[in-house]
Amino acid sequence: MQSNFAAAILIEKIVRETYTKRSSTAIQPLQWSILRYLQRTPDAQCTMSMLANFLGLTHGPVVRAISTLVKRGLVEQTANLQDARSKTLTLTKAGHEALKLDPILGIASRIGSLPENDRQQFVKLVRSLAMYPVKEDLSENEVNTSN
Amino acid sequence: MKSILLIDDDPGISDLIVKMLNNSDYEVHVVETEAAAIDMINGPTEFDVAVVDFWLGFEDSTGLLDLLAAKRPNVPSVLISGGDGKFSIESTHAVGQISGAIHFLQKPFRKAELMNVLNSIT
Repeated sequence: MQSNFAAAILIEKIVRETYTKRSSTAIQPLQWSILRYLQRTPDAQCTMSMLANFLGLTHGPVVRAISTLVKRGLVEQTANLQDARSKTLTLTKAGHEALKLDPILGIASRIGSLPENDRQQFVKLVRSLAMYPVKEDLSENEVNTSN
Repeated sequence: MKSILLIDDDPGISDLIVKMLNNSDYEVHVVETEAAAIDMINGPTEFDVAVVDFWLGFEDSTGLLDLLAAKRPNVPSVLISGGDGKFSIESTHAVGQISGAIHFLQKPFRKAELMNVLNSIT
């Protein structure tokens, strides 16, 4: 249905607007996910391996993102006392400060401003949308907008 | 003695968690299937916290988390998951929060991490 496509456009637009800073110094969405993980996760689980597993990514892009965050002073790597083969990732003070400006807080605030019944319905619907299996034939950018 | 309802279809994991909680203040009731979990949630057995694996076979446990929230609103839920390859743990964590789980533990976790979570909610 056309309204499905229209809803998809609105979702995409809301998310895109959230990441308005496009300069090379802006923190990218993957980097925000990493900062959030390090903020809420016990130190023992703040390793590259656990982080990549959490994000569902291979090590390559996670290593590059961590490297950028370390260079910007938002994350530091220290020796892992539990496992000599890996390092512990830790948020710096600047990393904690950066999270206060996490752009996703803007979307959360918009959701929070909905009337309570709408808000409850919305979060449950988003859960359903996330859990509903993706049809393989729609994963190749062949969405039929006339349906 | 506090009581834990542990819902996990992998005996290897549930046995490990039971061992972690040996000699602690917690006794563990283990159920391995969604049907057994539903019976336990709807039944008379009291428990102080529910520890729920996200993937039970090919099914997710959002229905069980919803049932826990409806039938046992005073029992906090802890969601555990190691991912399944198709649905990231990041997404699992978010789905768990929407479903009422107040804590999330990513597998593999250590005894200290489990105890920290349990002690914070019971």
